[in-house]
Formats: sequence, C-alpha cells, structure tokens
Amino acid sequence: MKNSVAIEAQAPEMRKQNRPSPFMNEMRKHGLLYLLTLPGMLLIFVFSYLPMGGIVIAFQNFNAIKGITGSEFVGLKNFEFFVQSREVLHVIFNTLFLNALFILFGTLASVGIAVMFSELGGKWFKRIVQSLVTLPNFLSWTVIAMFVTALLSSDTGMLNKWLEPLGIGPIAFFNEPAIWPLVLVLIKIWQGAGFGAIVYLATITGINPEIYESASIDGASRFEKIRFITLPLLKPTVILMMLLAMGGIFYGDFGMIYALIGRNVMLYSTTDVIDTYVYRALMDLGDMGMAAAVGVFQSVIGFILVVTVNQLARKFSPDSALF
Amino acid sequence: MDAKRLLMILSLFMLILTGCGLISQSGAQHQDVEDGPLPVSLKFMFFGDKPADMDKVLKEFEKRTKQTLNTKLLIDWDAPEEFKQKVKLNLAAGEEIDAVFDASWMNLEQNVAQGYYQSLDRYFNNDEYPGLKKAFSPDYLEANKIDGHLYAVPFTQFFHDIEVVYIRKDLRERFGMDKIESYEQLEHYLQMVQKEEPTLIPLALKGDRGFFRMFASEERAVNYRSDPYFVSGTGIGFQIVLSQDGKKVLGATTLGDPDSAYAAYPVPLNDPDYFYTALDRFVDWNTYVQTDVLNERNPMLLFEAGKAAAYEGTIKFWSEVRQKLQTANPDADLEGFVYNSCMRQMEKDCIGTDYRAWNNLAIPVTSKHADDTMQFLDWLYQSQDNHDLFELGIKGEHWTDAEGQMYKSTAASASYLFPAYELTWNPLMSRINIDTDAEALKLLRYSADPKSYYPLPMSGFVFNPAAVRTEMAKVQPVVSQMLQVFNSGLDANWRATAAKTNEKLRKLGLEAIRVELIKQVEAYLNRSGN
Amino acid sequence: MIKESKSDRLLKMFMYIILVVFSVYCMIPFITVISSSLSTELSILRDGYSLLPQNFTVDAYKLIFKDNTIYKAYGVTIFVTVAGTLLAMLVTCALAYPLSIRALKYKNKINFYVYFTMLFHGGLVANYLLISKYLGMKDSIWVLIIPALISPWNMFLLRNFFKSVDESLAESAKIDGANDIYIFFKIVLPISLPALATVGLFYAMGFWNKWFEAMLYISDENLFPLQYLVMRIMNNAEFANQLSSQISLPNYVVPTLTTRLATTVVTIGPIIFLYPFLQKYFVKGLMVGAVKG
Repeated sequence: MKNSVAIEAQAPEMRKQNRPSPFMNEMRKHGLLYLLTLPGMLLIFVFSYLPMGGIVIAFQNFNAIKGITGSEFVGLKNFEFFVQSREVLHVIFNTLFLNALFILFGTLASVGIAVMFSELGGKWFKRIVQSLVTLPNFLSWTVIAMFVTALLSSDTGMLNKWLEPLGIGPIAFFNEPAIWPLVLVLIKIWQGAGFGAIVYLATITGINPEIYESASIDGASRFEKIRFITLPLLKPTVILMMLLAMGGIFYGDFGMIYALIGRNVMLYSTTDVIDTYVYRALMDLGDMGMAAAVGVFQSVIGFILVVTVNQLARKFSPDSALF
Repeated sequence: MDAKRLLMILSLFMLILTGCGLISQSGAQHQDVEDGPLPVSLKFMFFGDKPADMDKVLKEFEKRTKQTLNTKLLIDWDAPEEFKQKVKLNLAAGEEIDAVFDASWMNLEQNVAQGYYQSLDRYFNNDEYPGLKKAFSPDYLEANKIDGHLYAVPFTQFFHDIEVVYIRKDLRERFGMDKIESYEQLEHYLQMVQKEEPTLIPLALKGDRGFFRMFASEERAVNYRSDPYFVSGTGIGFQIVLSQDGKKVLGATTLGDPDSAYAAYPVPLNDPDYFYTALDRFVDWNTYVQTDVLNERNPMLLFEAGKAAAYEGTIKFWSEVRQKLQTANPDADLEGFVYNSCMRQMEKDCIGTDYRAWNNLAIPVTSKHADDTMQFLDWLYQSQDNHDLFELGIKGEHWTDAEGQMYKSTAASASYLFPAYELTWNPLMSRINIDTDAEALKLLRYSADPKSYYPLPMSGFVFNPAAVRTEMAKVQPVVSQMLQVFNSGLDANWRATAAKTNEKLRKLGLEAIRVELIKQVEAYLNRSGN
Repeated sequence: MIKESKSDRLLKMFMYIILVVFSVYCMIPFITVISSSLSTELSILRDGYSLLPQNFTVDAYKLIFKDNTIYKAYGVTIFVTVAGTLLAMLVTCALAYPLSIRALKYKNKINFYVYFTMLFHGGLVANYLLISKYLGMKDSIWVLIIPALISPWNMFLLRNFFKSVDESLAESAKIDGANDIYIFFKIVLPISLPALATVGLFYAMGFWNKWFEAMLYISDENLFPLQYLVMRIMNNAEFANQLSSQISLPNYVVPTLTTRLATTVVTIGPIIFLYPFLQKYFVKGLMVGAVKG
C-alpha cells in the first residue's frame, strides 16, 4: 500500500533523477509526525520568533515614540557601561559561582530525595511526606525573606536567641558576606529540592521493576541497586536538566536575591549578581537599550556554553543531548 | 482514523483561539450627539490603588460637567514598580494616552529629553484657562520648567517634608528629662535608653536612608548647592559653587576629591570639611543604631512595635505612627524632635527650596486630546469645590468642612483615599486635615507658608543625563554602595575610603559627568541671567 | 520473599529519618504562614511569628474577600489553568513525541529551533507590540493562555520521557503494521502517565501563577487572575497605609504583614491539592502493568 503510492508520486521526479530526494523520502516515512509538530512550531514562531526583531533595541538609543524602527542605531555603545565597569568581573563571578552551586547541590538534593522516596513503602506516609516537601516551593521570595530576617536578625533573631544560652555571642549574619553563599544554597535547596525531585521521581517510576527483581535474585543490596541501577538510569534526565539549567547560568536569580539581600551593601561582595547590579545601575536612568544590551550579553554567553556542552554530550551520552 | 480526526480538531482549536483573540477587542465607542460639547473620553495612567469610591466620584464629576465639559475619565491604576515600564510600552505601541503621572524620582527628565511629552506652555498664564492661571503662579511654573518649557504640570502641597526624630514621650518622662530641643539632649535620651532599656534599639534607621539630614549644615546656602540641597540626578552629589554674583561656576566638587579641588572656593567653602561634618557625627552616633541597619527596610514598624526607642522620619507620618504606637502599647506616647533648629522654631526664611514639585502630570505627544485634558485640569482648579471633589471626595460623605480652610474626616473617608499628589496637590488649594496631631499641624501649617522658604541658587536648573548615561550607569552603583555605608556611620575611616573610591570613580568617568554638569549649569546661568 | 539484609534495613531507616526531618523543616514555615495570617498585625509586630495564631482574627482575610472580585479571580484562574493545561499538553505532546523518535531525520533541527527561543528573546517592547497591537489580544482571557501553550523546558522534559520508553514495544507494534500515530496513542501515551502527570503539573502551576501578562495586557477587573489581583491587593494595602497617614481615622490600621501572608494562603491553597492527587500516577511498575494488561 505505501509502496505503490510512493512510486506513483515519484513518477515525475524519476525523469530528473533515479532516486527520490531525501526530503520527500522523509516526509513519506514520517509525514504525519511532522504534521503533529506543526501547531507547536507555529506557536513558537508567532510568539517567540516574530518578536525577536526586538533584539536590535540592545543596539539602539531606544526612544519609545520613535519605536524600534525609528530609534537611532548606536552599535555597541549600550554595552559599554557593563563591560567597562569595575564590578563586571566580580558580579559575573558571583553569578556563575552561585548558579553552579545551586545547580550542583540542587540536583544532588533532588535526586537524593527522589531516590529515597522510590525506596520507601507506606502509601500514606509517601503521599503525605512527598507533598510536604514541595510546600516551600509555593512560598514567594518576599515571604521567605520575612522569615529569614526573623531567623537571622542580630538583635531579635531566633537563631541568635537559641545560641545565647550556649554562650555563642550574637552573630551578625547580615554583616558577614562570607557565609552567604552557603546560606543562599541552603535556602535554595530548602525551597526547591522537594519540588525538583518530582521530575526524577517520575523517571524512576518508569524503570522496569523486573530489573530490580533480577538484581535482588542475584543478591544485590539496596545500596548496590541504587548505585548500579537507579542512578545510571537517571543519568539522561540529570544531564538534560543540567543542560537546560546551563543556558541560564549567566542569569542570576533576581527574585530570590533581591528579596533576601535587597540593598544591604555589606553582602554585595558575595551575593551581587549581574541582574541585581544592572538593576541598580540603570534604576534612575530607565534606559531600555542598556538593559536589553545586558540581556543580549547574557544570552550569547549562555548560548555558546550550551552549544559547547551539548557537543560534548553528543559524544559521550548522545541520548541526553538537547539538539 | 481517530488520530487524523484529532489532528483536525487540534488545528480547529488553534484557529478558534486566534479568532477569539482577535474578536474580543474592546468595543468601539459610540457617540451620541447632543447639544453641548461633543463627548470626550480621556485615558489617564496613575499608579497605586484605585480608591473604592472612585467610580462614585467620577459619576458626580460627570453629572456636574455634562453641559460644560462632557468628558469621561478612564483611569488606569498600576503598581508603582510596573508603572514606569507600562507607560513606555504604551507609548511604543502608539497607544493614545492622554495624561500620565511622572516625576523626578521616576523618569521625568529622561522622558522629556527623549521627547515623549508635549509642551504645555500655552495653557498657563492664559486667560482662556483662568483656573490654571489662578492656581499656578508664574514663579512656581518657572521653577518647574525643563529646558525653558513646561513639560509637566507640577503638584505639591508643601515644598518640604520636615524631618523629625520620633521618640517615646513616656520614656523621656520616665528618665526625668525635659522636652528635647537639641542634639545633645537627644543623645542623652539615647544613652538613657541604652542604660535603662537595654533590650530596645535606641535609634532605628532605614538601610538606604541612614541618618539622612541629621547634623546637616544649617547655613543659608546663598551661592552654592550642596548637602542637604544637592542638585538631583547627577549620579553622585556635587557641591556646585557659584561666584559672588551668581553668574559663573567656580567649581563642582564631590566626596573624596583632593583638597586642592576646593582651593578655588571662597572661605569658608575651601575646606572640604565644611561640607562633610555630618559624616563624622554619623560615625560617633552609630553606637546607638541597630546592628542590622543596612538590612532594615521598615524602622517605623520597629518603633511602632515598641522595639526601638526612636526612629528618623518625616512629619508626614506623625498621626499614623502615634496611632499604631498606642494601639500596640497603650502606655506609650509619641513626641517628635525636629532636628533642624530653624525648622523646629518655625522661623521665616529657613528652608531652602528650588520650588520644584516632586510629582507631575505629563501629556504624551501621542495624545490628540491635549486641549480637552487641559480644559479638565482648568475646571479642576477653577474653584475650591471642583478641586475638593477629586482630592477629598464627595462633601458630606467622604469629608466635611472645617474651620480655617481645613477638612475633617468622616467614617467613609477610608473609601476614598485619592493619591492627591498625582493630580490635585496645590500649595494654594490643598487642605490640611484638622484632626492631625496638634504638633504636626503646626509644623504642616509652617511648611505650607511660603514665607518659611528662601529660594536656592540655580533653582530652575535640571540636569540632563543623556550625554553621559554610560558614565552614570558605571558610577551610580559604586556611589550608592559607598554612601549607604557612610550614611549610617558604619565606616570610621570614611575619608580614606572616599578618597580611594574617588580615584576609582575617576577611572569610571566621573570627570565626564563633572564637566557635563558644569557645562549645563553655565548654559542655564547664561540663559536665565540668574 | 527475599529477606532484607541488615545493611538494607539500616539504609532504609536512615532514609526515613532524613525524609521526616526534611519534611518537618518544610512544614514549619508553612504552618507559621497560616497561623500568622490568622493573628493580629500587632501581635506579630510585638512578638514575632509563631506556630499558633495569636489573638485569632480574620482581618487580613476580610480585606481580601471584601467584595466579589476575588471570586471572579478564582473563576478566571481556574478556567485558565484547566483550559491552558489541557491545550498545552495537547500541543506539547504533539511536538515532543516526534522529537523523541530516533529515526526522525530533521529532529535536531527542530530541537534547535525550539531551544534557541529559550535563550534569545525579543524583549518586552517587541512582545508588547505583537500581542497588543498586531494580535489585538488586550483585555482577553486568551492572552493568559495562548502565548504560554508551549514551554520549551516542559517540551524537552516530555521528549526525554518519551525517549525512555522501551523501543522494543514500538518495534514490535511496527512489525504488526501500526504507524507512528497509532503507536503514540495506543502504546506510548498510556505508559507515560508519570511523565504526563509531571509535565501537566508544571504547566498547571505555570498557568495558576500567571500575573505578568495580566499586568501588561488586562485592565478589565473582571478578567484579573488570582495572583495578579492578590498582588494588587497587597500593593494597595501598603499604599493605603501611606495615604491614610494623612487622614486621622482612629484604629484604621491596614494589616500589611498579615495580609501578605493571607494572600499567600489564598493563592496557593487550591493548587497544593493537585500534586497529592497526581501521586497515584507515580507508582513503580505502572508502565509494565499497562502494557501487559
């Protein structure tokens, strides 16, 4: 049935060449599948590609009245303030460092939690605890900041109140920049690990239980099963999540850091990221061109990074590559 | 096959969705022609909260002006943070907006420089607009012009919000002290708090405000602009010193400049310490301040909750603070120490001002109804009744008359809390609430009296940052970081830090900003011969 | 039954302890949020947060529920979430499945096409022009749904889940003469329930929390989604505080701290119940059972 249709459609082309073009061949084989992708591709085209022309704002002295088509082109001038500022290397480092910590420890925590859940029984225990650990994800950073202040405040904070009877003097957490990467990672894990475990949990439930059964028969311990079955089978998902996170590695978590650190200049040396820095620099100027320029910078670097890592992934673990 | 059918359904869905999106645009306006002026709809953009009874008041307004203006007001209310973005987006999309709020503390000067707003010169001092002529004196307008033209209607009630340190009257009496009338007495109060009430924070400050204008120079600034009267929007505060005749710029200096930079100034300005004595006092007084001051966003709450014995703020909040303080702690009582002496004694010619309003209404160039909008504003300022309708609400319902041209709140006042500074604030027409605390009332009346003020030099000058925006973006973050530490007295070696930072700033473009500033000031002086 | 060794049991106990401790840590702030939202503003100011309500009051909630705009907002958000999630899952599955098939020749080009948009954006102005001027979607409920129907992140996740489905199942079906679509609907989808539940949950959360598009494009109060309405109430309360200082009403203290906490409770309440409901799909062995049955 398929072949006869193929031959008839190929008739005119056969006068030009003996074999049908690879494109038509592919369409014949998987035409329906490509058709399936059309609605999605169309949506992406309309809402993501059509507006992409707006990137030129990064290279313009943007004037709202003159619009994108009428504003004056200024080349790379909008990038100057960022590239020439003293702080640029510092905030870039902070952004990368903090994001790397978040990705690394976040993944460890989420995978750990998912593995633990998959190993335990007790239907009601699982349902309740699994839901509880996702709760912090639902709190906004403003609310979380309120609690962090209540916890760590030097004069009235709960942590200092507990440390007092132990003889440990009041620690001025909000004046000590050195500990804040640790504090931020802890808070980030607390907020996101439970929810982030859902993805890994879903992957684990997709593993054929027969593999575990035969491993048990072979005498493998629980720990060995985790190590040699669960974790390796989680690898593609972990790599995918990391790849996806990597594109944003130059974007600081503005919401979190602005809510927690705010204008506390003492902590900037270890917590000021690109986004918070640029926000302060441009706050009074309201310059959309310069803000866009930083965004382009972050995008380009993230892009180069992902393409590089993706190439590596294709070599070593082709199933996990993004594209 | 069900799969193919599903695909068709999918594509149909997509069509419907886009179709729905396109159809559900707002309906067209229909205009019935009657006698009287043609109906007009004006679109305004304000920020903040829409008062609960706004629609009621608007209906009353339409009722009163059916035959005269026949104008409908459509007001969009947005959260302050998003407001700035939204205005620009609407302009970029070419939407017709008839009036927007803007201010120096938002992006007024930048937006004017970009040509977003229409010039409003012709509507003022014009007999066709008597209301505006009456309410806006030529001097007031002159001070609010940018580049020689009026691009935004200024709104202000008082030209200065008097600063005060709020203290606990009950504690003061317990310490056996008299009313506080000097910094020394205030310090004594704080020391008593440290001794007798060690769990309380003696003085609570706000992280990005610090000691603010405490210990500021009380000299009358005759031919220079400096702390506390810096020209705003220059990235870092510059002392701009003019020659005796006020026609030339002797120099513009800033924190951390080497001493030689001040040499050109006349005595006593040639000593940098003349300008920065306050910073030393900040360091001395830092011991009374909370440890986490930089993290503090709301010292008022600390004070109201009884966790702090004093906090620095302005008289605007007097009633609120006292209310909340006493609700939390019925035995507590509020007292204010106005720390600037001539303000405290309510003397004439005390407060320097450039008569610039800090709130404005502008008309974008995309609006085709500028005349109608200004006619509405004219109506608003034509009579006290018209003005009060929008500022206070419906008389008898949301407020009542009180003697001395003041007003009294009613039970329904909370339903109409209009942000008057976006449309109606005016030194001649805005009323004061008679139920304000007696102390605060005296001070408010004092700050409403034009005789309390003296004009600062260069009072019409506005700095346009367009030519040096890259340098400003580089300098600003470094400066704000340094100042925050200084303003709470956290750096005992501020002189060394300032000098070092100054060198860094020069590498980042400080000189370019300075040169541009001097150039613009000189152009202004030549223009106005002032 | 294979008996568990001692080390296995030890490991298991260790895991139980960690999970219990962690979930307690997650629960405590949450309970504090609820309790504090039911306390008076002043007791919070004076005594700080606590696990139990102090001076029980529903003032903060009164402010939120003072008129029926909040109910309308619930309606809007529920519609947006249900319709949005269903449509999004449809379109995303349709895009993700083909990309998961190894034999698809141009899959990497399409992958790149999708991924590129995760990094490069035209910016706010261009998007605003597109949606408000050219598509005319202002003040329409669909502006909260349509632009968000494809999330590249969710798509790649789903694609990966589909990839992990055992190929032998598809192979044997192909030998029996089934085409790609049939395989998708009758074989792959039924055993991908955990994946669908996961991605569906993510989409649902996204739609539930939408506020930015509402802020930009919606001025009709009847179309405000929950998060946005609640944000405005929050800003308004703080604003009203500032303005009310100029009038002098006895005992007019707008609760801001407790209102913020109450808004948290009001907005997350419903969506929290979605995950426990979906958990029944996260059961091991679901995949194998469905195919054999």
